[in-house]
Amino acid sequence: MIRTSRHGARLAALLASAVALPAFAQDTGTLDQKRAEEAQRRPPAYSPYVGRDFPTRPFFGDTHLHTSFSMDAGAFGARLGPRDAYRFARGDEVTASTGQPVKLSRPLDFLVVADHSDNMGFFPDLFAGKPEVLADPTGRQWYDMIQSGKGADAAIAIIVAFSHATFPKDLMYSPGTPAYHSAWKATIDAAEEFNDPGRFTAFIGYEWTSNTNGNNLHRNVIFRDNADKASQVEPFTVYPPYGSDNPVELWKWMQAYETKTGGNVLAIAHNGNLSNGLMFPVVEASGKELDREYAETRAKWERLYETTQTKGTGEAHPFLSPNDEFAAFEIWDKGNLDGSVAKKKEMLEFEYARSALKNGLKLEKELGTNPYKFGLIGSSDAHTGLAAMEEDNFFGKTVPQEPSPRRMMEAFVDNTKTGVKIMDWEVSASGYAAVWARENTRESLWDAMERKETYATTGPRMIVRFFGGWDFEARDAEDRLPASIGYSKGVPMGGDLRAAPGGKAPTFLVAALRDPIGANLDRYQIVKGWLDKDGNLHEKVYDVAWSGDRKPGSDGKLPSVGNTVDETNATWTNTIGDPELIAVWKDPEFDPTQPAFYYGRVIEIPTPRWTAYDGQRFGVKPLPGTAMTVAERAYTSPIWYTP
Amino acid sequence: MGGYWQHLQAVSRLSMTAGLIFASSPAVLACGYHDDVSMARGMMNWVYPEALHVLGAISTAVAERRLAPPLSDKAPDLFGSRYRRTAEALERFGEALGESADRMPALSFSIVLLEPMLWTRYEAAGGRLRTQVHVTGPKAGDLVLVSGEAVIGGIVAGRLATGEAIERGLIRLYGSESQKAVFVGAFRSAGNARPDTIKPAAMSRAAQSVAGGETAMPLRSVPITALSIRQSTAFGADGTLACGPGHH
Repeated sequence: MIRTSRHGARLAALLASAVALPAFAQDTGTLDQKRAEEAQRRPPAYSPYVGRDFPTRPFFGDTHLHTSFSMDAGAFGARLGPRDAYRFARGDEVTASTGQPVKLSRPLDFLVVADHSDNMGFFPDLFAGKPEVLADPTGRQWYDMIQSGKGADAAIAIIVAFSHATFPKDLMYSPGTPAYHSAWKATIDAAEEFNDPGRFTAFIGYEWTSNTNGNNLHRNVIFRDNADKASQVEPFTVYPPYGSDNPVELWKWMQAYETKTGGNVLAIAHNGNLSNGLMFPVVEASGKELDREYAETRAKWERLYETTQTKGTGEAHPFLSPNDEFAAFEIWDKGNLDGSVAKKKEMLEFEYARSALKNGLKLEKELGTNPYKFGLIGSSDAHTGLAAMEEDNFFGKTVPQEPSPRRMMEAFVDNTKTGVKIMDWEVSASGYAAVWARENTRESLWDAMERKETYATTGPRMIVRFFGGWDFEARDAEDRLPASIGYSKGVPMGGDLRAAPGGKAPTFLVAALRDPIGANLDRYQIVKGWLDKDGNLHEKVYDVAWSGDRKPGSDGKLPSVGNTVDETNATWTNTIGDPELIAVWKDPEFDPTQPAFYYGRVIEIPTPRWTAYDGQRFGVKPLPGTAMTVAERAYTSPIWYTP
Repeated sequence: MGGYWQHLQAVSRLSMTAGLIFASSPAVLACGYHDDVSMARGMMNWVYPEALHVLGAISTAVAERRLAPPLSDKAPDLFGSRYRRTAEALERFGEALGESADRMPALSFSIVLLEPMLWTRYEAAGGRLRTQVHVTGPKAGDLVLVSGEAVIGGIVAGRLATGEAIERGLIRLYGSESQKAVFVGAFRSAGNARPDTIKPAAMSRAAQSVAGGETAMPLRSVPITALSIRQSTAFGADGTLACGPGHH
């Protein structure tokens, strides 16, 4: 291991190169070998940045936000629509559905409003008295009741219609109906209105919400394109006769979209932890045996996985990774999405990102393609219209969980039949997607997602670099422009290493800067997974850079960084940890015949969890067992080695 | 006020549109003491625009230590005492309104407490307010008040005036402008302390507890009155109204 840790003044220099650039970076194109050689032939310029041609800053955003257009969000009382959501994400102060003013600490760079495709837009239309709703006698009746002061009666009537399955068929918002078309158009129009190339990107998107038997197989679909193409289709839904709960059918819809329009879409799955073993199958999916076509199709459309969000973090599970002391992070492992089936340990392997990445190596050997060759992002899945995922500014997953003195004490899921109970305090203030793109546009961000040059954060905006190659050396970590070296000597996160040069092991240049207004960093780890010659899968976590002068113990474990959190007052200090970590690491156990993946995990020092802020601000005492501190983190997309 | 699971069930039922019959009557769905009513609460924000802003106003008041926070005691209310206390508080709220009015207006109105989604109707008749706790909803033409347990608790404890609760968004009114004006004009002082009615030294320990005086500041610097002593059984130790399942 070659390790260098840097402090203080040097942080400013690296930050300047990484953050202070205008959103429209000058970099366009790709620094491949040919262009690098051309650049070398040019006479040297005084400016070290002349000819630079790679992403110079990560763009932070949320690829998974619901608004009042989502049926469930509307039912929860969400009144903020897509326009409010974009307004908030770009930095404006807005009023939450519970009347509380709210503003982000810093604007986000992009947002995907991903409302559920089934019944999209129903609630706003009903209460606005849209003609499509009023054309139905029942819709007309409900609307008139509301207008005549019988709103409570109308609400009861609507709930009863839901509960008794007597909801008028003509009021169902399904593709092909004028009402649904109107809702989709409104979604697109909002994105078009707020998309501001170079400053703020508003993606067109939706969530496909397969949830059969309560098992979460959800995917967010994100368009690279503008309204001219996206408006040629309507979203794919789950319920028949227009939709399907089978992801394979979604992929067919995506192919049909691209064929029809010449556009591009990608899908991002999430919450494998609530799929009860169905998210990452290795034998069969939807009743059909996995084959090469499945693997190729999934790998084509699902380039990323949302590994952290409000309903838990799905990178690793302590049962699957007993030697990983940081695996037990914001885990939701009690059941499926609605708690109707309790979790069994044998399900876990097929739910978590790390085990899927490992199984993908095995499947590639069997099928010829790795179906689980995905990059990592985080996002919120908030149903409030508010992508507010900072611990001290957490506006919850749904409107009932917007800040209140009660929210720590209520149950989020409480299925008395199965005993699955998840408390609201277990909802996680996480996360965001970080995308290394050349400029803040739909095309550039989407392309970066497609090539997996992304990482997940659980909320903070730390800046994380991860390069793999064969020739990184210790002095590369001394350079103040590590990205220049990284791109010229290796591949970034999401990339591939192939054909190990004789006698060489992969080397990695890693660098991380703390969130400028956040906490110091504890350590930078590399997680490796590999397939041995006997077909057995393995994993190992390496500490490659860390703060302070700590020395690994005899067990190889690095001592804890410590904890400065004052839970009562919800404060901490940056007296431990480092603002910056940078190192070059060489795999000491590399076997060139064995396929492998490597990804980075950056861990902050402990800070107050949102529950601590609630306790301090509302003067409420948490329930026993409530987690009050959190070690925030980032997960990079892997770099794969294929013999 | 969680209940995501219940939301999910309801939405799922809507989406499936067939086959699933849920054994709930409208009356049951109208009250959170029996079943989760998060969906009914959520729809309040549509039916009565910005009704849930009351929750934000309560949060602000608690954060400012002007209303007491809820207790974290989640023990089940096996014998319905919390509901009874809530019902009694709502009765006392009606009495407090009546006592505050110089002349009782001919105004009937309904109030919903958002946490349990409990509706109560106050019918003006013969110069008095008749209280009906746990009705299915307001009658047509009623003025509708939206509020929360802690707010009613503060009012009947004499720590919070009704008019101030309205000004702070802790109670929201839905009806005609004339209805609102009549209500505010007649009842705005309800909940205001009346120093002449009792000496502070006469307050029982329970009454002080009801008022949440140890942790919460009154919205105005008003001493606690005899009203608060009478309400003492209607509240939890934190001064908020208490409620739970299985109350009747």
